[in-house]
Amino acid sequence: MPRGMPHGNSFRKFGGPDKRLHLLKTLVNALIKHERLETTFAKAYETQKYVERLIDITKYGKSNLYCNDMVNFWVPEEAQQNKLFNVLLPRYSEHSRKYTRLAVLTEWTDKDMKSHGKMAVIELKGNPLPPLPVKEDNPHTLQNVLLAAAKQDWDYQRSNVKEN
Amino acid sequence: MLCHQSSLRLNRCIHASNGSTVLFASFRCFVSSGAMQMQKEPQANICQPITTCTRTEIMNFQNKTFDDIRKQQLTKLVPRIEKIEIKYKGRGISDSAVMYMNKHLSTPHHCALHISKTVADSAVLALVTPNDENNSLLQAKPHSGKEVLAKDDTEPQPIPWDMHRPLPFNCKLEILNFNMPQSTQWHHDLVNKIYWQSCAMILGAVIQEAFKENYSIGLYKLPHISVNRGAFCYDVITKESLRDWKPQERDLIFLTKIARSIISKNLNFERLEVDRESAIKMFNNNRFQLDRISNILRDKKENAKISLYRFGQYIDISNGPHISNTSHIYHYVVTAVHKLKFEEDADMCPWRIQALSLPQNLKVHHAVWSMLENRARKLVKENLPHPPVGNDEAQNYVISGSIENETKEYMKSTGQWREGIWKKTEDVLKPTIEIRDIKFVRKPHKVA
Repeated sequence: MPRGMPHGNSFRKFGGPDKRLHLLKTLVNALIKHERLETTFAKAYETQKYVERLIDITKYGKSNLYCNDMVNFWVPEEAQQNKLFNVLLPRYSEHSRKYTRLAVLTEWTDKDMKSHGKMAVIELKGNPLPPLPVKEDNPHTLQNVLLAAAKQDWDYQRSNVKEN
Repeated sequence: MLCHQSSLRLNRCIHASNGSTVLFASFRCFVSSGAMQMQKEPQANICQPITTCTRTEIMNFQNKTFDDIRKQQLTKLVPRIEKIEIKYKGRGISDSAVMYMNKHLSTPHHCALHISKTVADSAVLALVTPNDENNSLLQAKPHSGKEVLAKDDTEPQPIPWDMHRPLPFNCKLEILNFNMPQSTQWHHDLVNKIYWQSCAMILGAVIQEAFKENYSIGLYKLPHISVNRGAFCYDVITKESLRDWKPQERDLIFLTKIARSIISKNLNFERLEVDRESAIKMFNNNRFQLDRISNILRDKKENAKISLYRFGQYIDISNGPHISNTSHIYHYVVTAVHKLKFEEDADMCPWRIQALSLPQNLKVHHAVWSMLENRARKLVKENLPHPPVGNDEAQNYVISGSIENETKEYMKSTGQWREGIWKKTEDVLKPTIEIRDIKFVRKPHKVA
C-alpha cells in the first residue's frame, strides 16, 4: 500500500497541518452556522468526523475546562458558540452518535468541468431546511425492529448492572 | 445382539457386524437398551387408542379430508364461472390496473402474475378492501362519542388477505412486501406479525418430524407473540419418556437441519374454512388441539367455521393470514427449548420451543445474527401457559457462538461459508436423556 493509505483509509494533507486545521475550522464554523454545506467529498468527510466529536465534547457542559478550550478553538465566532450550546445541544441530547448526514452528489460528465471532482453535501440532522432526497434505513422492517428491541434490552441490563 | 433390540438408529460410521468397532457400538447399545426397557410397559399415549395410530397414517387421513372438503366447497360455490372486478393499486401511477378475474377461483397471486413475475414472487400479503355496493356504511350511525375521522366512516377497512386465498367479491387490491419504503408503520407491523406467526407454525411441523413415535409429543398451543420479544415459540407437551430430557447444542442443530429440509421444499400456505364436526374428525388424535378448537368456537354460533392452514402435509389451526410461501424465509434457527411446570398433572411435561428467523429480503450479517440469536435463547415470557422450571442461567448450554454457523457449508478453498446452501437431514432426533438405574456405571447416579 502507498504511504498515506494504511488499511485502505486515506490520510489527506490539505496543504499542510496548519492549513488543514485552519480549513477545517472554517468548515466546522460554517456548518454550525448554515446547517448544510456543499463541498468536495474529502472536505465533507473530514469535517463530519470533527463536528460529531465536537458535539460529543459539548455534552460534558460549559463549565468543563476541556470543553471550553475545544469549543474556543474550533468555533471562534461567539454567535456560533452560543448556537452550539443553546440550539444544537438540546436537539441532540437523546441522539447517541450520528449527528450529521453525508450525501454524495453525481459527478460532472462534461470533460470541461471535470476539474470539479467529487462533490458532496453535509447537513446536521433535524435542520429546518427541506429534506435531502437520501435513502434512509427503514426502521419498521423486521430486522431493524428486532435490533432496536435487542438494543433496548441491553441498555436496560446495563443500567441495572450499574445501579447494583 | 443387543443392538438389534434397540430401535434407535446407530451412527453411520458404526457397523455392528465389524468386530473392531463393537466396543463403541456396545456402549451405545447399553444406553439405548436402558431407554427401551423403560418404555416397554404399555403407556397411554397422547394419541387416543384408534386402531392405526402412526404419524404417517394420521397425516394421510388429515390431508385426504382436507382435499375432500375443499373439492366439496368448490363444486358448491362455482357451478358456473362468474367475473369480479379488481382494482389493483400499484407502486406508482403507471402500475395500477383494473382486472376482471374469476369469482372464488382467482387469488391475489394470479392478479400479481398478470403484472410481473417479480411482483408475484416478492409478494407476501394482500390488502383487500371490498367495494361497498349497498352503501351500508354511509347510513347514519348513532354517534358513539368518539372522535370522528372522515376516513373511518365512509370507506370500508382493508382486510389482510392471503396470497393463495380466492377472492369472492369486487374489491381493491394492494400487495405488501417486507420492505416498503413508501408505506406506513401499520403495513410493516402487519407483515412482521404475520411472518412471526407462520414461522411459529413451521415449528410445529418441525417438532412432528423430529421425534420418533415412541416419544409421544403433542402440540399444545400456538401463542401470539410480538416481534419485540426476539423469538417466536410453540408450546409442546410430552409424556414421562422425555421428562428428563436436557436438550443440548447438537439437539438444537438437529432441529434446525430438519427445519431446513421442510423450508427448502418451497411450500405454499393454503387456507380452508371448515365447520366444527369435520375439524373434530381431523384432529381426533390430539386432545389439546381439540381444546384449541373448542376455545375458538366457544362464543360463536352453531354454523361458525374454523380456518385451517396447510403447507405440504402439515395442517394446523390458525386464525389470521399467513405468508404466501416458505421460500421467503432465509435464516431459520431453533434457539432454545425451555421446560415448564404442569402443576396439576405430574405426568405431563410442557416445553416451550423457541426459534428465530428472518426473510430473504432482509438478510443480516452473521455477526449481527449471532447477537440476535443469543438474545433469542432467553425464555420469552409472553403468553406462558405454565410457569418455568429452573433459572434462565441454567440454559446456557450452547458452546459455539451461533447455531446457524454449524448448519452452513464451509468451503475450504476460499475459507468462507457458501451462501444459501444449508445442511439438511431427514433423520430422527436422538434426545439426550439422563437415565436412571444403569448397572454398569460405578458411581451411583444422582437424581436431581
